[in-house]
Amino acid sequence: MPRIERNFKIDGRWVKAGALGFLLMISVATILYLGLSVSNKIQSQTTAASDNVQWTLAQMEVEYLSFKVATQDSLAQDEPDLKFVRTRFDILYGRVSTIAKGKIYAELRNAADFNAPLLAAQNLLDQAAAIIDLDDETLTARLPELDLLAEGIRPLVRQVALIGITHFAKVSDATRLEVLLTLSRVAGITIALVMALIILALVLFQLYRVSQLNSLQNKQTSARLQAMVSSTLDAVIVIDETGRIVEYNGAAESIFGFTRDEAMEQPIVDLIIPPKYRKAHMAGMKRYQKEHTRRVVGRGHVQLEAMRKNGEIFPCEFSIAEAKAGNRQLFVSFLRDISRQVQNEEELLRARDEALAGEKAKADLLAVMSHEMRTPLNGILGTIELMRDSEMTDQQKYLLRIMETSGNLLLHHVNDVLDVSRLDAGPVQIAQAPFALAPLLTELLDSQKGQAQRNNDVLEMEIIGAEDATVLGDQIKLRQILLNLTSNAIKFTHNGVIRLEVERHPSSNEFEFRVIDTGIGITEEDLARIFDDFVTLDTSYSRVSGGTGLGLGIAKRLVEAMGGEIGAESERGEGSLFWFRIPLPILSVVEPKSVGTGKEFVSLSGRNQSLNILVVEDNQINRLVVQEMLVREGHQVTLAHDGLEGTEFADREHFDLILMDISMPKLDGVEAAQRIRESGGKSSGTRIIALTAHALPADIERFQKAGMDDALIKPITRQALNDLIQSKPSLKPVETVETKRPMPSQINAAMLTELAGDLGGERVANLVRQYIEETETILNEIYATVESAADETLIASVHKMAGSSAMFGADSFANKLRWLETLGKTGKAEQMRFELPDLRTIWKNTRVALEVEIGTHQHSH
Amino acid sequence: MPRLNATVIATTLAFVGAFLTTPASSADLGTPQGEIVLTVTGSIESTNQGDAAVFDLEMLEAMPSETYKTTTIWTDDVQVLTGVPLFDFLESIGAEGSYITATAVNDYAIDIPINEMKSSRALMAYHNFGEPMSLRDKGPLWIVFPYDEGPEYQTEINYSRSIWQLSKIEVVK
Repeated sequence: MPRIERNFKIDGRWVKAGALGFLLMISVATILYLGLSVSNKIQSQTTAASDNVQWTLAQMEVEYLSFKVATQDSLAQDEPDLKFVRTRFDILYGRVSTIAKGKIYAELRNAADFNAPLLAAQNLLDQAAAIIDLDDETLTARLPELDLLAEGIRPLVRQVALIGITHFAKVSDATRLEVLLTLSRVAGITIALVMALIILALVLFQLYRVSQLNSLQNKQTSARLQAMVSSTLDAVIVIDETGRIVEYNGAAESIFGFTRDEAMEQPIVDLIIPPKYRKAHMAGMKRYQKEHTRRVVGRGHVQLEAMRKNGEIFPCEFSIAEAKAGNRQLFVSFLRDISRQVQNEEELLRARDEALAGEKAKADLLAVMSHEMRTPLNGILGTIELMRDSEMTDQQKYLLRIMETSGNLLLHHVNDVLDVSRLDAGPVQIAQAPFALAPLLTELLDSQKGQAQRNNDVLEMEIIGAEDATVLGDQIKLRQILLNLTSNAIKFTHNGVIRLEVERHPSSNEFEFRVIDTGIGITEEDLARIFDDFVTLDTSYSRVSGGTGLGLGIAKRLVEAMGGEIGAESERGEGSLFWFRIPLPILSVVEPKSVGTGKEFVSLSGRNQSLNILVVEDNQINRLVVQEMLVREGHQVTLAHDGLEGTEFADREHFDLILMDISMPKLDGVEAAQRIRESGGKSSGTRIIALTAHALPADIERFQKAGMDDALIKPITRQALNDLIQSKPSLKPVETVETKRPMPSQINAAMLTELAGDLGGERVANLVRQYIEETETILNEIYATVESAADETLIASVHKMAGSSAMFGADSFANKLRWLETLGKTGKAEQMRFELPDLRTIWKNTRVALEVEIGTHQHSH
Repeated sequence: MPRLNATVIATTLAFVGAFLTTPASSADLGTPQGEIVLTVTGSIESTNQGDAAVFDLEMLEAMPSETYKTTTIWTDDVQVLTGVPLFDFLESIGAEGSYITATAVNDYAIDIPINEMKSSRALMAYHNFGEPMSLRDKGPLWIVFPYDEGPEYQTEINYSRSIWQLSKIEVVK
């Protein structure tokens, strides 16, 4: 603030003036001191220990002459006045001895030409004194002798007086000179001081003028500020250090509702600070006064709440600056009512959150629906495969083929959607396992041969620089990428060539894969968006071949998950080139495995031994499919409808192989397998193969722990089934089984596992949490309103819970709900109401089991 | 009389003193038996020889005395000077004047204001080292000041008033 600065300037000026005043005082004191010292000096000069020595010396001659005259007079008289002679002598004698002894003549006596005549005179005087002190008669007789002595003294006295006077004249000359010098010095200093005083006066005058000017400017600035403060849209409130309001502008009146008169001189804390902040405010003021630490002052804009006259509390933004007015510490605060702004922000945030939640709900629905569609679809496809071998007319066979193609396409779509949603749900697990590159590629092209032939395409392959390499990476995902790109290429190429090139980067671990076709190509603008989701290019082929438009999106996601990059180049009408580079560290160059040579799909049956096989499967369709497939291969099949039945059969009879579904009511596959292994029954050593929709490494481990040897991933095909039966056990049975007994099966864990495999663990966990929350809400509502609610309402609630519960594997809870629903719908509403409380207990266990499953449950519960 | 003292109290005391001495005649001063060493003339109340008051050494010795131990600029070493404080002496003879003119045997003369006598502590000394002083040795009377007691006593004025071989005092109104 300029005003404050000016205040400081004025302060500085007054300091200067004070310093000058101080200087002035020093000057006056110096002059006084010098004056006094000069006066003293003059005084001391005049009162120096000198006596009027010159007079004394002259007097000596006078007194000598008086004595001489007295002696001569005495000689001339008959009766001489001896007393007078003696008095005159004594006076002379006293005078001379004073000069000889007195301190003031000491310096003079040091001079030989002074001292010698003085001593001689004294000597003569002593001789004269001897005569003077004689009796009158003798003195009279010896008066001529005395006169003679007196005559001898004369030149001596003269000499003493002359030298003495000359000496003291010199001394007083020197003294005068010294005084003169001192006086000149004083004069000089006085002139200097007067000059200083004049300068001081000028400076003071200048200061006076500047301060007058400043005062005028201050007035103008103050007026300007006043105008600004009163016209600003922000509330301006100035408080003093005691927290009382000393300035309050018009904007403050309209924001806070207090008039200026009401607000002035009032403590701010009682006026506009909401009660809950008052304590903190007082503490802040106290702290500031005590320690001068600032938390808010001078910290720029701060957002807080303030209170209006009517008690309404609203958000405001403010800044506080401190100012000094004289000795008073002031705080200037600018406040702005931001309640509307805050409200807008909140609305915006809410809208965004809602949009995000809607987006998520849509994605979740898509994922869950795809997952739910897969099981029945597998049933359809399995059944179609079985039907193919039965007696049919050509027409029927043709229709069946269409059904199978459509079913496969549908399954493909569903898998695509699931893939995308899983890849988007969270970090993608990338396996790091060794595999041989060449066989993978060969097998891949083999699987596409049929489609290629239909389009009259030729498939080519070339591996450059690493023909026999075994690399470390994720075989399944690499296969999926290549499959997506290759099938895409075939789709858009008729009567052309599809070439797969693999090239190892010479100096790094990267491999570049290229899928080149001579198809219809892609326009430049389309090229930019082909990797986006749901992009189906408007071509005649796309309609024919169909597609979700997710294939390239999935490929891109997978490549990026592996730390690589993907791209495409194309020339309309010439063909396209899709490439991607991923890091694949080379382990070794090994002999190609026999797998790469291709398999004869049908020839397996001939080599089959007839085995006694137990199939444990609760799903009737699946049971049927598997049974049919096995019987056709010449095996004997025993069917069990659930885990419990399965263990019973396994106890009683020896089987060569047990195919065990994982998700079953009563006793799931894992549990059943474990029981069979532990039972010591007839089949406790039999190979057990899990039938599961999805096998994550964690699942495989779980199966293994339960004593299972291998897993067959659904949908089950004859080929896969035969392969598995033929092969040696790929999972070694665990010697010592050490697993905790799971909780009494409230939930179907496999269901969740399957779901997690499809949708991603994190998403499933979220869904389960959501499900738990929803169920809690509905249950609470039911219990709160059970007395008053209509039967229909209760039935609707129960129905609502039943659907989702079944999906998340909350089997016993879902069963109970279905039972209640049945009761309600069959006119037994009373019974339904009576059994409603049972839900609570079942739900409690279910909930705990679910939480354990998704890993949020605390073991202390 | 009022000029004798600066303060009223001192004046009163002096007045009382004067009142007490006033009725005394010349007989009160006594008659000098030995050689006259001092003759006081002028404005005085007590006389013993015409208009003058005369004193021999014995008479002065009988008065209240004071002794200064001091060096002087006219002698070597410390002198032990005994005598009558000049102011007291003048008061005892009822002197009423503004100054005195003191005259020496050697015809030196000096005026001394009476009101300065008290502050300058002028002493009319008659003994040095307890012995009377000869004429050759600045006797018989010597007005001295306690020079060693401070620079204020070592002034040119005091030095000029330090009259030796004193023989006559005239009190001037």
